[in-house]
Amino acid sequence: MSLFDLFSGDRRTPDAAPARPLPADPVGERIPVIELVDVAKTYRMGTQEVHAVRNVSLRIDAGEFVAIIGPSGSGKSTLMNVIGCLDVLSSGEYRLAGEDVGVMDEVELAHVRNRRIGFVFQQFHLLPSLSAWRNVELPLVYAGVGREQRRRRAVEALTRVGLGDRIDHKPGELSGGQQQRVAVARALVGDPALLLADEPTGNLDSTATEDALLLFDELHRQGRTIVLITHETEVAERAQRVVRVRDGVVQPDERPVGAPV
Amino acid sequence: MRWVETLRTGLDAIVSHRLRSGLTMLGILIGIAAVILTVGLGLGSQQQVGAQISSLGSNLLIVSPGSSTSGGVRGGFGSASTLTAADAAALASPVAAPDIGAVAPVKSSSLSVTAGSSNWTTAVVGTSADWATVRSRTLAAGRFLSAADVADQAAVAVLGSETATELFGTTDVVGRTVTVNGVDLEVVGVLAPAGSDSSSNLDDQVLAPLPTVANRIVGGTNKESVSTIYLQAASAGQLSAAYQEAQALLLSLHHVTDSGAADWTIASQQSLLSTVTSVSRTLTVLLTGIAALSLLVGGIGVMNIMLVSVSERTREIGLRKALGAPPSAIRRQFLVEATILGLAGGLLGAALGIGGARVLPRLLSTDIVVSPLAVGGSIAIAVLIGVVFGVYPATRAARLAPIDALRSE
Repeated sequence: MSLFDLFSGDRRTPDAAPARPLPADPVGERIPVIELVDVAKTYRMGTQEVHAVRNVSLRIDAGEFVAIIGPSGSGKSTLMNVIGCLDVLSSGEYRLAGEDVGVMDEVELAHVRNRRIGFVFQQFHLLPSLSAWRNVELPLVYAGVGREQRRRRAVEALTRVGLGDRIDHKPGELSGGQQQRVAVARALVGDPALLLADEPTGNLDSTATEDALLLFDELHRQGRTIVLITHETEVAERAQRVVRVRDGVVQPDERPVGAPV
Repeated sequence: MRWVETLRTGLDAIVSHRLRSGLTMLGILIGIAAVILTVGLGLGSQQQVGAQISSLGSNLLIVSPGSSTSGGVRGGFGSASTLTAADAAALASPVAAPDIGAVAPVKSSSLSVTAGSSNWTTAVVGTSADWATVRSRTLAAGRFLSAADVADQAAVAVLGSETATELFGTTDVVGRTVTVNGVDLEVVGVLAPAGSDSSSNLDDQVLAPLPTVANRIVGGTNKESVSTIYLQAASAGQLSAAYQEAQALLLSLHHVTDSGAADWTIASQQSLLSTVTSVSRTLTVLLTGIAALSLLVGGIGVMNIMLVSVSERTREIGLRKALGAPPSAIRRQFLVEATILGLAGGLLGAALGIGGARVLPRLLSTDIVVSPLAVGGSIAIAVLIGVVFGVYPATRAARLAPIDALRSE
């Protein structure tokens, strides 16, 4: 590898990768946002093979608000990593918004994460040295959006989560609830197909939790597809649909009473 | 990700870790300043010595007594006074040595000189009337020694300007008398100041006719011997011919057949210059080597800090990857950070070096010549160090798996 290559970008640009649309849906339905078919993920711990998830088939359509719930060690984190394109499958197929993610390499996966998925993490994962809007613009930086537009869209996203007056605050100057809202704004700024929240209320007090959940409700009403991973039943109950994971296997669907079908 | 963004991200990271970045730069900064100063010192001393050697006079040949061999033991250079006033007289002959224009034998002794109640120990030099021409010296007052003074063993003297000041408190001393070893000498002239060369103060000496010094002042059994003979070629083009004639004459006068056994040495300004240049070049190479080592240490410091930075910012890297940064963008970010550290260290080091080159000559007696090549070259080296020592940490950062990176605390 020459010095020039070290500095230059990847030779294969993700934009040039051919899109892999599904063959026309036989039933004529919309393309699902998430389609997992018989997915398994196996880790190797020393000489032992650990089946973190196996035989998982899951379909989530656009506009759904799905909670994935399970106790710790159930494999829900692995499922979240798989859905979030942060980890590769051991077997099975995964199509995200019609693209076959299972065959993608690291660079293509980065591109997919950037364009298709908005992450909200339990620990917020904001960069402490950057102001709120600089944190929010990060996905757009990697998408190659110009600075003017990045700032405009970041401020828009912050306004949408009710922090329009805090754009220049650093994370350290914001409360936990506000930090999580910055993180939600960051997840929204790229207008992704999927909002993937991993224990988003795990580090929040009850008031901030309620706040955050109201925000998710609001986003759901606006038509966002949301997948929320949690171990708290009360949080899961806010979703339209609950997927239970136990011992690496997805249990049959159940819908909270009174939730719209 | 655009270049501007990469650059901004790198700068952000450096600015948000000011102390650490500053300390990292310090290593490179010192290395670069040291390179610029040592190269400058080497160049400066070469120029200085070059100027001194040409100040000796023009078209000059210097005949020094060589080693003497006694009882099988070969003494060191200059260990014997094998040159005599007769040698000087022979070399001055226009028939035997037509290419030699002027000859100034020198017999120098350190003696106490008194004038009234003050006394001063200085070099008392016996020489010929040609000395002023050969050594390119001019007079501030009075006249130089004349051929008649030399022939008559006249009791006259020409003083260096500092000697005059030490003895009389003024340089307006023509016509006054100094006493050396009980011999009263009338001051007939004062030399114009010329500064110092590497071995002596050119403005602190007493010049008198060679026979006066040899016979009346110093005396002893070795009256005929002289310490050095300065020769001036009639013109620049005749320098090598003058050298040949001097060598041939001395061979016959000293009854030596093999020039390898000669008990004298003839040096030209050129040969002196090349000796001094090669010595100072060796010194410069040595010092630059040490400076380069300190740059290497600085580079390792950059790598160390970048590795610390990568492991400290594992979560940031994980987050950036989760948000869509491809490995190449992460690698570039850290590489740019290391390069900025190198460049900033190089620029600050160059500034320090140039500043030092202004200030240090006032404390030391040598000149420091800042060469643009050394400045440009060392800044380039600093950048290169940043790149080279940044590659490994940057590659490590790029290889981190996003899930592991996000999970780390």
